[in-house]
Order: sequence, then structure tokens, then C-alpha cells
Amino acid sequence: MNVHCSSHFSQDVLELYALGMVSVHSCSDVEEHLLICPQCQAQLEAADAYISVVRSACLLISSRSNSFPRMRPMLVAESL
Amino acid sequence: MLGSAGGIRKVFEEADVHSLIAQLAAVEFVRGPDAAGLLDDRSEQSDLLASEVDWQNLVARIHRGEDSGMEDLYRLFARGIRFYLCRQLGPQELDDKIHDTFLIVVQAIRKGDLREPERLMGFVRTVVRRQVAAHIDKVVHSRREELDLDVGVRVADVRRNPEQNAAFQQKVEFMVSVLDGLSERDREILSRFYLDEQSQEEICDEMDLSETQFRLLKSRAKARFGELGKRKLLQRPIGSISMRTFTRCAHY
Repeated sequence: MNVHCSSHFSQDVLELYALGMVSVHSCSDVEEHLLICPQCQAQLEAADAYISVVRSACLLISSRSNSFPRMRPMLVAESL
Repeated sequence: MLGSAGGIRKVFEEADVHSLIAQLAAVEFVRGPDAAGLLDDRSEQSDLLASEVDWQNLVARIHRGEDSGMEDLYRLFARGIRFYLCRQLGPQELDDKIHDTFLIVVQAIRKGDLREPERLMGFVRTVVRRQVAAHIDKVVHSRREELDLDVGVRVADVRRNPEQNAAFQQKVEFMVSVLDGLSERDREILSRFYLDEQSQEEICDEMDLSETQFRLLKSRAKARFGELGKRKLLQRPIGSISMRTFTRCAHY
């Protein structure tokens, strides 16, 4: 019997997976677990959403401080 | 072995599998996934599955062509496959792709191609990844052909709807205010990690940070973002804002 579901991945690991920063070996472990674990699926969705928000916010801040204000709408649109 | 059966028998079996997968998909559709209650349902299902899965028995039943084996396989993997495919490819033709995936898995098991039943999860993952790769390959080819024909490039519309956009913009505003409250150095650390996708090791090395400092900064920013979001949402009259979480696409 497989007990993958009883050991969930941490938020940090799922965030790294969302960013594509886990090793090939870890990636297969995470993906196999995700196939049958709704709880980690939800965590990964949350990580995806959070990363998307942080990226957009970082882009806004960096465009706010640069000398090309006309680029800002374009950068934000790209991040959406 | 079932896979060595004659042509007519094989066609019959394929139709049989098609029909059962369609029936199982219909049951899922009729039940109607309730997005609001999804998280609660998920954890309950997770515990149930962990204590029940017997891969040897499951694969043996599918190999023998028992409907109960197919049902259990579907119950076990349908959400996960849907989640993976939707996350990678978006919601277009999702049901067809899930159907194809199950068909490939079931046929492989019936032919006896899966020699280690305990590797079923790995096998399903491989099939799903191949489906994703095949789809991307198909899209790339069709776009190339369209370019050759000079009929213009069609790009899938992956934008959120206006409601989701508004919710997203608001979250970005919260995050901007969280980042504004940080020092320039701390902002740079987060930006390097989330935007530039530098590894933790690289960042710690280049910015002379310990792993603990790095993790603390990340978790504090996340906690602050959560607090701010909750506070702002509570300040607004009910109904003035959607509290639905956004995702790149709905999986159900």
C-alpha cells in the first residue's frame, strides 16, 4: 500500500516547484504526489497565485522607480 | 493476455473502455464540483485515499477488465490529472485530454505493459507529461503552418475575466504596500527570488544572507500580505468585492 498522501510537501517545496526550481528527482516525487493529493493541489494553486501577485508587485515597483514611466502599463499588462 | 486479442475483440474493448470513462466523467459532471467547498472535500478525500490504495489489487482488477478497477482508477486520479493538465495547458479541451490519458493508462495496464503495479502513480505521471508534450508539439506545428500560410497567428486567450482581473489588481496593490514597507534590500531579495528566479543559494551567497534570514523574510512578507488582505476585505461592505480566489483556470 502506498502512503504518499499521508506525507504532504511543505509550502516551501511547493513554491519551489511552482517556480521550477526543484531537481528532476524531486519534481517527479512532487508530481506523483500531486496526482492523488487534493490538499497539495490546493497549496500549489495558492503558491501559483501568490507568485503571480509578487511578480506583478515587484514589476510595478521597479517600473515606478525607473526613468521610463511609459513602460509601466506594458509591464503590468505582460504580468497579467 | 488481453492485448494479444484479435482485431474485433480489441475494437470492442476500446469502445468498452471509452464508454466507461465517459460514464465516469458524466457522474463527476452531474455531481457538480462545488468550487466553494472544494478545499474541505479535498482533504477528506486525501485521507480516504491514503488508507485505501492497494496498487497490486487495483492494477490486477484493471488488467482483468473489471469495471470496479476502472472506477477506482478514475476516482483516484481524475482530479489530479485534471489539475495537472489544466495547470500546464489551460482549460481548452480538458475533458478530451483527460479521457485520452485514462484510455492510454487503461490500455497499457490491460496489455500488461505496467510490470510494477506499485509504480502506477509514476506511470500515470509519465503518460500525462507525454500528453502535455504532445499537445505543445501540436500547437507549435500548427502555429508554424499558420505562419507559413500567412493567415495570422492565433494565440489562446489566457487572460482572466474582468472580475478576476479586479481581484488580482487588488492583491497586487496589497503586495505593493507590503513591499513598500520593506527596506530596499529586503525588496531586492524578494524580487531576485520571485521575479528573477534566482535560487536561494545564489541570493544568500551574493547578498551575504543566512538561509534562516532568507526564509524569515519570505514568510514574513507572505504573512503580512495575508493580514493586509484580510483587513482590507473586512473593511469593505459585503458584496462590493469578490472574495473568490483566482487561479489561472478553474480545474472543475
